[in-house]
Amino acid sequence: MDKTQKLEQIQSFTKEMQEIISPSDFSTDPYEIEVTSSDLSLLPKYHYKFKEEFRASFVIRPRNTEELSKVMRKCREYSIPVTIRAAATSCFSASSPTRGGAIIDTRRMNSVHKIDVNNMIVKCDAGISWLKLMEKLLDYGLAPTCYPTSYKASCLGGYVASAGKAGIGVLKHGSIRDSILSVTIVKPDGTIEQISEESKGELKLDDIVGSLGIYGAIAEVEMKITHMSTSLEIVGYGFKTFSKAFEYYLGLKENTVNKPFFLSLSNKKFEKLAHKTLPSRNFFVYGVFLDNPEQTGKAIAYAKEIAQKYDGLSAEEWYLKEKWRDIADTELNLGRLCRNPVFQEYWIADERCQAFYEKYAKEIKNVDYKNAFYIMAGVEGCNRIKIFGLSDIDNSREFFGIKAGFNKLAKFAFSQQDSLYSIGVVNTFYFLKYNREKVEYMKKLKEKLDPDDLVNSYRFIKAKMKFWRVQLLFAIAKFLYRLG
Amino acid sequence: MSKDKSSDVKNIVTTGPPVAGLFSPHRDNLLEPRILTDDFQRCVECGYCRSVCRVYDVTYSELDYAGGRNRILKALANKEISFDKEGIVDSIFRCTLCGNCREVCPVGIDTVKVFQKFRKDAIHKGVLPRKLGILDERVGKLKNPYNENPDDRFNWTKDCVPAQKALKRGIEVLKAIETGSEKKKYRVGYYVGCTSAFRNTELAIATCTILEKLGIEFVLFPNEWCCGSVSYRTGLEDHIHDLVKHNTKMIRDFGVEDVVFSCSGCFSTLSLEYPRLLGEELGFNLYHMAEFVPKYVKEHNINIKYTKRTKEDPLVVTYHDPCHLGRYMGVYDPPRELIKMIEGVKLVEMKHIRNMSRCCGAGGGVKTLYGELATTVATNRLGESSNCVEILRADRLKEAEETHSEWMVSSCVFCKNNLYQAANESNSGLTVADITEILQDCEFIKEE
Repeated sequence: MDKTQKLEQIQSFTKEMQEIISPSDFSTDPYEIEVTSSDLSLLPKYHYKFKEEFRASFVIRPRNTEELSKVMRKCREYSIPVTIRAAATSCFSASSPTRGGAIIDTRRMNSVHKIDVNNMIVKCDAGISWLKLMEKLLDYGLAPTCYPTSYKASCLGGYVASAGKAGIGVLKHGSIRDSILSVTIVKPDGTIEQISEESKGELKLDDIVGSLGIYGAIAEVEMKITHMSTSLEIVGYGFKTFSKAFEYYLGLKENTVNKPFFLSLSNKKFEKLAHKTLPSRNFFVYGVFLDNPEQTGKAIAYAKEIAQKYDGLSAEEWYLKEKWRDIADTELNLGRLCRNPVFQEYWIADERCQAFYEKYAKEIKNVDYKNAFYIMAGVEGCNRIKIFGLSDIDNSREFFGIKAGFNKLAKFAFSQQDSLYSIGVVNTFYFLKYNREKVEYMKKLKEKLDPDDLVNSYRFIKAKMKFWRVQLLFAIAKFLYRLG
Repeated sequence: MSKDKSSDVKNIVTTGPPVAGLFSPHRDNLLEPRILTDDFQRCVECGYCRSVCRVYDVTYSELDYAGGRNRILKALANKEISFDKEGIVDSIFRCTLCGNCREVCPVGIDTVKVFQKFRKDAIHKGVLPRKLGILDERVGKLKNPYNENPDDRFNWTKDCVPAQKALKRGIEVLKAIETGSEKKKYRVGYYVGCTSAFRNTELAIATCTILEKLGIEFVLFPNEWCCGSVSYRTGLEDHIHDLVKHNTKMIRDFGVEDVVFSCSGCFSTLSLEYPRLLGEELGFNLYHMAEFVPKYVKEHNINIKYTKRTKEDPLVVTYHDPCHLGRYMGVYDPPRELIKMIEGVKLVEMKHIRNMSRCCGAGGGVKTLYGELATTVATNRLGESSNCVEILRADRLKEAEETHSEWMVSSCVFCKNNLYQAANESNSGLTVADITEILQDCEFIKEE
């Protein structure tokens, strides 16, 4: 297609789109496109090597499932690649364009359709923010069963699309997958389908949850909710060694008395990098229990009892309360001290966390950048481990040195049958390398639903950057870092 | 569980999710952020600011909240996008500078400072929306943004005896200054501000009435000029130096110790920006009336009684925290203390208060730049913006109505003006007033 034909195509597409959607919900403004083509991942444009075209041409904001369907249909008609986006809190470019085209911003799709108090179900648009959803549910004394620590900014759809397995409430109530009853998806051809456990079609719930929207846009979600409990208790203990801290952490995680509502383990550096006053000892385990008073009472008694066994030192109550209040900010506060906080998230089984920690501890012995370690309990006997490096992109030697270190840990995790916590555009090459069977399955399904690969391309089944090239780059980065 | 059960839930003593909602982090134990010259570079794009941005809630445009604007700044700094004088206007000016984003930013970026600089830099690069140019001209020539004759600044005093007396005192002092003769010193001066002088004169009248009732012999400043707030907020910082110098000299020459304000915008501008622009302390105290009155009545053992209602049948009011008094100056408690001091008035709080109070939509030049446009067609960006002002103020009014209060009081003339319009447009049963309008109907009884 030459330039003139392309321009005509754009004009025709724009005209037809403005018949489907309000003109104020369709934009070709270059500044708007610039910001909407980005997401939380650091330097999305730096990741240009992972993308054919990092900047979109259109921003479209449908208001409901029907509009979304018409938009997707029109985009397919014109062979325009689409990227589905809501809060764009993906840290790995999952919400940013890879082939240009149209960004479909679903934030306007934020209605709660139904709160069924008798059956404890909510049905709502996927673009609803967690804050809005929680507010609506609290009016009835209800709450979501689980939600991410990014709840202050993120949307429901993203947690579903990334199959959130760690977060608040997951230990007690299960992951987001466990709470989902059905998902309404708009497929690449624009057809709307509601998928539930009973669905017999080619798409299953397990396909959609965690697929980053490669099979279509998640438009609506129907999920279980829970009663809001009335008693909240918090424990926090410092330990001298990682092994003692982790044993205590597991003791809380696995206890049958009352599962924690939230559970984390951090090293002292993590707490120190954000706070002036912090608990003493090298490792800190933090547990929150939310239930009826009798249950939380039992849970606290148990938690205190086993803390003695591992020589835990209790943190002060004000610190524990403040930490819960600001739990959503905890990981972000590290950004107060540097220009560009860098991190990677790993999904590590309980029994392999010790080995992973030892590997990490060995890796950071010879680094001079500020770093930190943070575990958040998840389901399936696994944990989200987040490693931080505080840096500045202008110091590229250090910046890429950190990333090289993270890469080494990623390969270690995969070699141990563990994985990364979330996959996006910039780490799909790991998935391709280490999950061949799953890749084949996903490819087949994708080919059926989206043969032209227009929707959320370059996630899971295709990567522009090959594994070996990335390893070579990281090897060079590591060498240069050590040289420095 | 019915909606009534929600009260049980809200009684849970928890400091965190999911009950506590969105709020600013506790800063006390956080390390001070490492501030960069271009602090927008530290933005981690977490999106918390988007969750509190009232303009974003209307437009859903990624340009319209702090994180999105930071991305533009980064892209401009890295030369990834070109600076288009026309195209960039909305992303710069469609922000009320309410500061709510600054409150919730986990990495401690002073977003208001960043965006003020953005505006200033844009003006230097030749970005000057037509309305802004007109405003600039008016302030420069007439020393007020309302295109009013400067000689008419104190016309409102004709309807207020205490104001007339204060103006007379002020004129005498001014004469003495001009002739070099001995002048009488007054402890308190009232800086009226342009909006109270030319638009909401009821606030100026109420303030003078209250000061007189308190037995304070105060002066007005006959040679008062615009404080420069609107110009400053819209990036015209370099154009207000003469205003800053004039007003500061004027107050210093008068020799007053305390300057009181009824306008939060004037108050925050003189308190925060004047010392910075002058590079020195002002040398006099500045108080908003909402601080001054409770302080004064406590020091002088004065009781306040609202004459129109009783203790048994109080006037139920809710208080709207103005951005410039609250988030900018940290004044949250004194107005509340003041309301609680008034016998015959009862305070009921809204949902979003103090540092999480929701902006009325009038600030940051948004109402000036976008507020007068017709709203019949909301298909273009500017139409959306004017809609935005209306929607923001209507939302805030609705929040006040949900408290089942009779009055919504604020302590900023801009807020009152804007919310009053909202109340009129919606035929609300709520009366929108300034805190001074309650006080002017009060008795101040000194305890023996």
